[in-house]
Amino acid sequence: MSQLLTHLLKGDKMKKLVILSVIASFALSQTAVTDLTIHQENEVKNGSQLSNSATVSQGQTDIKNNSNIENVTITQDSLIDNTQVTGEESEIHQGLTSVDSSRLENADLSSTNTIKDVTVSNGKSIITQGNLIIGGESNVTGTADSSGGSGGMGMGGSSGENLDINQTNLLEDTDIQSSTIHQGKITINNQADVSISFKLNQNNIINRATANGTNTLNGSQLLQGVTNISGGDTSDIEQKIKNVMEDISVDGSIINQSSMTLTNSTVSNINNDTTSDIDDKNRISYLTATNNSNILQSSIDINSSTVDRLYKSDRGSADENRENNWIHTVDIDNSTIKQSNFNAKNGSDISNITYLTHSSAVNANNLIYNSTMRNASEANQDTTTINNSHLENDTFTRANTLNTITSNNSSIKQFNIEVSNSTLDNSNLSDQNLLYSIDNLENSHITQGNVIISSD
Amino acid sequence: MKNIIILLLFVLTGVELYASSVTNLTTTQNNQVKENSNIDNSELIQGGVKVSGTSYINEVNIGNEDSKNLFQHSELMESSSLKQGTVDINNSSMERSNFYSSNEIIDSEIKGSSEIKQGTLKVNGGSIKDTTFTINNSMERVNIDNSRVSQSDIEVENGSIDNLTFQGTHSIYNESDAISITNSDIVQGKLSVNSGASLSNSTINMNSHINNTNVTNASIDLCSVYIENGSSVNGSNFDGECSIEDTEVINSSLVQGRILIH
Repeated sequence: MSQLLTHLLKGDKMKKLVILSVIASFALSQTAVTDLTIHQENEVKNGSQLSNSATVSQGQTDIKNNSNIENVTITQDSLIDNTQVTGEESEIHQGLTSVDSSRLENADLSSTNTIKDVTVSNGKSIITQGNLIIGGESNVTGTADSSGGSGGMGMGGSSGENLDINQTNLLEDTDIQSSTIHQGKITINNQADVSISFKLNQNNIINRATANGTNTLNGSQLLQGVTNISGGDTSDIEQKIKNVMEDISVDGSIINQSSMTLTNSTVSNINNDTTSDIDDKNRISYLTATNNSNILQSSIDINSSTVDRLYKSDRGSADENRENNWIHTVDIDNSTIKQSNFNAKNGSDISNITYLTHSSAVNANNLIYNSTMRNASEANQDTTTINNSHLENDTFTRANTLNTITSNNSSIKQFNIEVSNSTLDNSNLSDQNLLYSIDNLENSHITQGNVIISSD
Repeated sequence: MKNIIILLLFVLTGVELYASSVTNLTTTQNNQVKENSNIDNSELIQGGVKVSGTSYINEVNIGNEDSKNLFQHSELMESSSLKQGTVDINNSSMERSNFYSSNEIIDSEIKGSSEIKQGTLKVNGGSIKDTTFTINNSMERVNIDNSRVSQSDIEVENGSIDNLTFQGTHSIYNESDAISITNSDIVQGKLSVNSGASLSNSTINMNSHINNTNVTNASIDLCSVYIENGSSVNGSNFDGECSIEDTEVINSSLVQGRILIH
């Protein structure tokens, strides 16, 4: 180009201006970002304070307006450490990424988002880590219900090819009151064309760093590794997601780990797989839940969608218990725990689904251990509801265990299937259910392996 | 009428293609404004470089480690402007050149819709090729009210940049009592490539730091990358490290590491 310009500059001046203008117009006709590497380290630390609607955004990436991106590597490390958040409606967003009406190809996006030794008090705050939104949906700014929770991904009106996304979202030694926390939420919507290798590796962790550390969360919504697909044609997605929560109290709140919701979509070849190298996939321990709180792990909800080749496994790396879908030492009062619920409705057409936990209840993946349930609480493991839908060539191999449980005036269900106004062809459903060391069971209701088929 | 103070500003202009041509130029600068100097409704430029009118710059070395632009114990007020070590390329070409600037504002007050630019690079038409920038910007014990500060921003408004190496270090800090930023916009280490512009084969390193500061009703943007539709960016690396320490942020927006391609 420079040689061309040099040559042009030797010519007549008027001609030069015209030709240069043409070249400039041609250059403007397309957007191209190729072979771009961005590395960012963002820190807020050492006694900093956020107050009165302060907003902190670290590592936010937006690609939109018909941009064309190829061969891009973006690495972002965001840290908020030793910081106090006070006052109303403060927001902290880390690694929030959106791709809207654009093409992203051969992209490697890695983010590590850490919030450590942070206190949030005196107001309702929103914390998101590692969101990725590809599609028409806006980023999370001031609203909690967007896919922009931490690790969220939405795709709509956009296309992606050969995407590698690696996220680590960590809350450690935090004291956060009355806040919304999203880690690892994925949303694909608005006619997105997502195909040809989209790989997501995600670690969502809320924990204590040391035995002496503190980690008190009182949240209204805690999401980790949740996938929502709405509209569009989505295929070839590989997910490896790990979610851990420790030392949490919730009141009238929702906790959701690794659930998947498909609405008005055509979905094929989705691999949500933890068999290879991720253990302790969905783990909640030392939890107190009160006042109609809902705790969900690894549920699948399909609404008005066509699904072919969905593989979801919680088995872990070896043929033994790997503590996936593991709820340990929790106290639930007038609240509900749901593990691996499967719901299909409104004309959904579902084929070739493989939905696995361990094949043995002794080494069950769905486990509730050393826990107390009271006051109309419910524990539902593998509760399946199929309404006005069609399933064929499906394999469900499930195992559920409740071990060392105190239940008072509560309900326990293990592998209940309700089929209404639907067809099941060539399905293979296998389950192992175990109640073990139930210390105290009063005024409670228990069902194991029930199948209910009905028609209007 | 705004007063204009220019300290060692290079203005290279031409009315025709390559009307001005500068090659093999080396300069060292030391510009100081201090001791209770009040800049009121005025423009102060220290160590600026402005190339316009289809000029051609080749193998120019501006500044070295002994060069400094200093604004100390002074006030900037009433819509004043302070530019330190800024480089503006307007419809001109620059090749194989090196820029070094150290820009310091110490113990001062910035207020009244004033504007500060330290070590910024702007290309509006023309090109930069095979050129290196090493920029150090600092504001120590400086209170900022109702004003705008830009440190080490790179803006390619139009034209092209190829094989640029840019090392920008910028800080706003205080080691004793916290300084105050109110009702102001602070931008550090921002890269903007606008429609019609191109950036290629370049390496940009930005290091931002804000320490011991009270930020109220303000907007802070550190180490961000903005690429606009109609531009071309390829073969480039952007490395941003930005930290905020011991700082209180009240009713303000703090953005670190934003990437917007739109």
